[in-house]
Amino acid sequence: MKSRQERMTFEDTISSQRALSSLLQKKIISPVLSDRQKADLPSLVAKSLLSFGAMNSEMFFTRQGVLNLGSLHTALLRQIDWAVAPEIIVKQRGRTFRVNMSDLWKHLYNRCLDWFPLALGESLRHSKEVLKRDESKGYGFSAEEKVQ
Amino acid sequence: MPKPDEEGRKLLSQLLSQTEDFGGAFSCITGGMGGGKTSAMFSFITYNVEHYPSQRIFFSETYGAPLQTFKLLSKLPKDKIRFLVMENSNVIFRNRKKRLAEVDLNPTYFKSTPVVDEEDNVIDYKPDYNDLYDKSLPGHVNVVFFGNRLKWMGFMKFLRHTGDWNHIFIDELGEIVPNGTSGANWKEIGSFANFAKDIRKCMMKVVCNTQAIRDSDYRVWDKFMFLIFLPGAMKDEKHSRVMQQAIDSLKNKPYNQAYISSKGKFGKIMFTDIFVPDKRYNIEAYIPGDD
Repeated sequence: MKSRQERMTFEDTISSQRALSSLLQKKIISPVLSDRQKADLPSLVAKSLLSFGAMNSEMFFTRQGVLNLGSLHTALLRQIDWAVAPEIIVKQRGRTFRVNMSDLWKHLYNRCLDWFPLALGESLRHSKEVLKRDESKGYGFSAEEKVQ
Repeated sequence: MPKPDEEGRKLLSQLLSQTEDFGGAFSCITGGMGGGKTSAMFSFITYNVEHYPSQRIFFSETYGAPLQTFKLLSKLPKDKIRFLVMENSNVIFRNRKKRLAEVDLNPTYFKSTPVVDEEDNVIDYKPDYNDLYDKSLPGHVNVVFFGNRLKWMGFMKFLRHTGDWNHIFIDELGEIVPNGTSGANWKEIGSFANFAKDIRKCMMKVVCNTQAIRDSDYRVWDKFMFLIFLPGAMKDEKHSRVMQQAIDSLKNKPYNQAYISSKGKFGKIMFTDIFVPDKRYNIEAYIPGDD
């Protein structure tokens, strides 16, 4: 039996995919992909999104955290919408990837149904780790120390 | 947005401080069974013994249940705890593990005066609050038994006139200002609720605990200046912005986490002092015929 969060992920993924498709139709710029880029692109897309997430963690990881999947998806779409720079740089495992945004948009449009759940899943896992690391434990009160 | 730890520290500082800016405080700790309400309260008691040794601390225990006071021995020496019992209150102490044999805790008795009806029959005894105050000691935990917990309302009203800083800790607030009363009790609680709004101005720090705020009279609910939510607590939408999801995510290991909330702000705190039952934890206060 799937957990509530998994069901929400699936349902929200479907709706966000529709929103994404609609968005992408307005965004396509003629792309030219190299063979190497074509091969790497599926994982690159996921990683680039993770990279965005890491760079803008406050947008993804609000105090409500990943429980609020609606805002996570909204944030993801906004990141994509705002990514109008000609290229982005993603560092993974010692390698630097340069992703042409035009190519990225093209790929998103063609394969969004394939990669988006993967990217979302990775984003969720990543955000959980960030949340766990940054989770507030609370101000430690002890009777022996005066609270200033 | 301020970090929850920092906001928690600021609010705790306000709750415990004695500056003219903040004055007294009326606070309520709420949480589920085993959520750490008593331990949180004992942390504050120990804090006051440690940092305000010239001030009086009064603690109201429940009847018919193991005295929680003995848990304080985890942090305080035995001679810092005193039991004060009202004369004619019939309060006795008995050991639940020795077939309810009576135990002498060597309490200090304070005076009371009889209350009579029109035919001179004694119907009650009124505590002599002055005598109680004189016999209580600063820097000690004064555990007081009136034989009737409703009398704590009168005692708190008395304390506002002493001109000293006083600390009052009340276990199970619902027994002091119960919900759903009528007649004289209803009026007395109304009068107390009216007084409670002035606690801030009266150099008093009052900390209560309850499993659910709804156990106490609704007229007191609006008067709390600080609310502390421990694991198992129910949210209080009207008086705090702490959400149920946030409360449900609180952890109780290795220490009890809590949200402290006041005037629209809230922060996260953690009680790091641990209080464990003493070997005398089986002793209870009892009023004969009160079953």
